[in-house]
Order: sequence, then C-alpha cells, then structure tokens
Amino acid sequence: MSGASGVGKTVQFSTRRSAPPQLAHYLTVVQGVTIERAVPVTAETLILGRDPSRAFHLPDSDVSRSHCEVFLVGDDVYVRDLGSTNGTFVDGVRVAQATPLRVSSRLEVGRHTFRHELLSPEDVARHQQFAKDLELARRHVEALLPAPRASGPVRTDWCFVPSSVLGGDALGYHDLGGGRLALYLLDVCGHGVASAMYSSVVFNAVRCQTLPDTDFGDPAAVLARLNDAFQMDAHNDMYFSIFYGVLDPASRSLRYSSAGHPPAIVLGADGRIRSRLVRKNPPIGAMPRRVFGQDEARLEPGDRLFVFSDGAFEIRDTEGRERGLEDFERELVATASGKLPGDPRRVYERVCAVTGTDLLLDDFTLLAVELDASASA
Amino acid sequence: MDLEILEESESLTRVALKGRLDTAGVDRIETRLNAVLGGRKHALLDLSDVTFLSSLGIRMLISVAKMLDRRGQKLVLVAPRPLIDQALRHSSLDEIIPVAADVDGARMLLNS
Amino acid sequence: MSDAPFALAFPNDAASLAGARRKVQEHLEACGVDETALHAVDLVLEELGGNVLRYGYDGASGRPIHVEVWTAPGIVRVALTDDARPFDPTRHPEPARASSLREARIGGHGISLVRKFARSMRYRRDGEKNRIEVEVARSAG
Repeated sequence: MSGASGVGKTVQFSTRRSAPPQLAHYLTVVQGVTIERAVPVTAETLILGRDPSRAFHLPDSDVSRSHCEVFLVGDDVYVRDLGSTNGTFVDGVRVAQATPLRVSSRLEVGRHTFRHELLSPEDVARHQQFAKDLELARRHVEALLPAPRASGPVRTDWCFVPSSVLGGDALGYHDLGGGRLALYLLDVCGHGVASAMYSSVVFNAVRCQTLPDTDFGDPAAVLARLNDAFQMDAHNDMYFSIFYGVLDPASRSLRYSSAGHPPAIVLGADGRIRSRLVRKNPPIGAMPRRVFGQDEARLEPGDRLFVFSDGAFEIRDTEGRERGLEDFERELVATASGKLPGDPRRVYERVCAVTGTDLLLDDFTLLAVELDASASA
Repeated sequence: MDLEILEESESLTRVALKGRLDTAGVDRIETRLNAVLGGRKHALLDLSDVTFLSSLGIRMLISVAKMLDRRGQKLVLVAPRPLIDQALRHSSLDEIIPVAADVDGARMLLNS
Repeated sequence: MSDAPFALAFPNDAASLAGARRKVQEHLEACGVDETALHAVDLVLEELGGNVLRYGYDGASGRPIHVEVWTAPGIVRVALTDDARPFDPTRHPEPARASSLREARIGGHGISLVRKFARSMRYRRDGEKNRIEVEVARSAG
C-alpha cells in the first residue's frame, strides 16, 4: 500500500482506506498564471519554485527559487517550506515544517493559490480540454495581429505576450488611405478570459472601423466615439486605456490621443528619448460624455515610436523592489539597438531578466514604429 | 459606498468617497475608483464622508496609492473623520500615504 | 458581566454578517453605548467575522456563526463562535511596517487593526468550535 517516498522520509503504512482507485491527488491552480493547470501529487516530491528547472515552475517574483515542496505519504498530502523569503501558507496560516494539506485546503505561495483536490480521470480530461480551448483562443487572438512591416516608409515590429494564455491587451495598425497609418494599443482592466473577450470586441471596432460616423483619421473623435460606445456601467464595470495615433509619413506628422495610458516614447536616431506622447484623459468608459483632446508631433527621419501598456513596467525585480515607468524608459533606451526588427522582443527579454522570471504576471505588449531614415527632411 | 468626482483639472482628479469602506463598500467601489483615477494625474481622495474604514478599505487605499505611484503620480487623503484618522494611524498608513486636513493643505502637499 | 448576553446566530455568508452587524449596532445604541465603542465593536465583527467567512470554510454554506454581546460599566464584550477550521487570530503576526509605499504589502492588516481598537482579545478552541472574545472600552454615561 505504500512505498519508499524519497530520502529521509519515513514510510507510513496507513491503515485508513486509500482514495477510491479512480481518484488521484492533484494541486489545481486557483489563482495565478497557468490557471488551467492541474498537477498530480505523487510520492515523488514536487518542488514549487521560481527556478525554471523546478517541476512546478512559478514565474512569480514573490516566489523563491525553491520555495516549498509537496509530497504524498500514503493517502495524505504534506507541504514543507524550503526556507522561502515570503513564506508558504496553508489556509492563511504560515507553515514551516511538514504540514498536512487536506483535501480542499488552499496553499498560497507568492501570488499563486492552489487547492488540493481529488480528481477523477474525467476531471483531469476536463482540465486539459480547458487548456486546449484557451490555446485555440490564444491562437485566434494572435492571428488578428498585423504582420510586422520590414520595409517601406514606415516599419513596424511588436512583442505581444499575454499573461496566463489570454490577456486584456491588444495592438494593431492599418492603412487609412492617403498613405496614412492608424496605430493603436489598448489595455482592458484586469487580465484573463473576461478581459480578453472585451479586448477583442473593442479591438475589432477599431481595426474594422465599425464605429458609426467616425473619422478614423481623427484620434480625438475615435476616443470620444469609443467612450460613448463602451461605458463601464453598461459593460460589467470594465474599462480600458488606449493610445491611438495617425501617422502620415509624407508630412512626418503623428496626430495622437490617449486615455488612461502610459506615455508613448519617441527615440531619436541617436537612441535618446526625444519626446513622450500622452494626453491626460481618464480611461475609456470611466466617465461619460467626454471631450478628448489630441496633439500632433512632428517626427524626424529615423525616429522610433514605442507604444506599450502598464504590464511592461509595473513589475517587481528579483529583490522584491517595485519598478516604475522611469525604470522602464531606461531599459528601453539601453536595449533599443537602432535596428527595429527584434527590438520589442529584446526589451521583453530584458524586462524578464529584471524580474528573474521567464513569464510576467501582467500582459506585456509593446509596439514599435519607425519612420524611414531617408524620409524627406 | 458611493463615489463622486468633485474636480478634474489638467493635473489632478479630486474624488469624494461616501459611506462605509468595509468589504461590501470596497467591492462596490474599487473598480470604479481605479477607472476614475486612471487618467495619469495626481489624485485627492476626500474622506470626509467616510464613516467606517476596515482593513479591506485600507488595503484598497494602499492598492490605489501604489498604482498611482508606479505611474509617477501622488495620492493625498483629505479630511478623514477622527475615528477614520485613528484607523489610518493605527495601521501606519499615514506614514506612507500623505493625509491632509483640508483641500488647500492637500494641494500644498501635491506641489511640494 | 452577569447579565445574559444579547445573542444572535447567522449563516456564514456576507449578507448575513452585514445584517448581524446592523442588529448588534442597533442593540448597543439602544443601550446607550458611545460612538467610539460602537465603531470598535463594528470593526471587531467586520474583521473577525470577515476572516471566518473568507478562510474558515471550503465553500460550505449554511453554517451557523454565533455572536454574543455583553455590556457593563466601562466595557463591551463580544464573543464570536463558529465551527470552521481551527484558527487562532491572537497568533496572527503583526504585519511588517513599511517605510515607503513601494515596500508596503497589500493585506494582512485586519487583526492588527482589531488589536489597536480593542482592550483585549482571547481565543479558545472548544471541541469543534473556535471562540474568540474581544473587550472594547466604552465611556461612562
């Protein structure tokens, strides 16, 4: 009924009945990334930690590299803290020595919460099916993103990494006629499936230009129309931030407006920050009947515009220190190499290095747009 | 728990919270407060009509303050009633979020 | 405190806790308890009752939580009894004091807040039940 369960642990011959043969012990994710996962708990020790080599890898900067271990002895699951910085909690109580984790009890590690459950093969199949569904949805979302433009008067590249498979961010650009390019990046509050669904709806309204009576070459008008159409009260208390710009490469003018969004950064050909583009409007949906202003920036040949969402910089580093916008701007300047293709991905990897994880807890979305260096001055 | 926008200028948003900031109150107001304070401006939160502040209310205030701080904006709490002020001090919240007795005092804190 | 307590029971959901808090407030107001003590009692029930609801049950509903309230000169005593999993709030550590907003951790302030507004807090595990008793100062008059 039992076997050796690893070095240093006593084997217990349990006289209680073991779980019915069709049910097995699992840790299911209640909160955190990888929300669809159900991980089996066996006699073999399962170590949870931030280190990518850990069997249960948690990309969470609040989690120690080897944070705690979970194992099965007979028919009981135990958890033991491995000297973590922020502690391991069972049902809200901090634990150190091997502590029982009863069925349906909660295990909290960093910003992740798990539940110990007895699952049947059908339950596990359902978890796996859900994971597959999420993956299909993710591919659908990714298919809507426009291809990077490697040549021409305006070049583009982007990096789009939702947290937990689906996220609330979206980015895009499309030709408006007359050589102009509309470009936009939006961030729905929260993250996860509900935010992703709302994000898709809004994104399509902009991408397919389905807002009625709207001049999509007029950023202020686009934001006002979006705000009329997507008020919080009528949409389950959801709201979103957005940066919307219209770039005319012939005149090198960028008309733009933003709502609740971090400033977009313009890097000159010399790699330094030339300007920050932002309008201080509340997010879309927060207040009815607003007038959104807009500004116009004149770009120089070789200028690169970087538009991003909060997930890029609202992060914690490996020492647990919270980073902010100024830190991100420094990372951006240090990483942007002057060759546009690949820059957004490089910035993403740099941010991951700062947090010490390979996946961030919020959506990372970065759009880069470059005006050709040989454009008429 | 209700929320009312008292003032919105180029550089700041002033919002009044009214009622009890307990579990139910926070539930009702938190998302809307985050939305209304999402305009990348400094924020003044008028607490003169807040009659009760629980640990969940404190948690919400810290969360909002952190959100603004990450974006380079400040939050100032204004005119809490005596019992609320006591709760802010007992949880040492007044050491990390500035509290002003009135709006003028709050504006001075923002400009400093 | 020789008088029989004001007692009520309510099921373990948020709306019922809110209702129980209201009834306790009404009773204590009728007893002439001052505003500061009223506020402290309300905080005790919101924090400790809230904790039981959030952490005590795994989705089980309809479980009874009992509240008893006694008044005496200078003191109001509140006792909360539940059959949730064992939890001793008096063992709950004080949250670390943050010196800046960036360092501040969100959460963990509830029990420490109760400690500051109350005179004493005692916990007892009684068979299958948790029982917590809190005493709050009240002004004379």
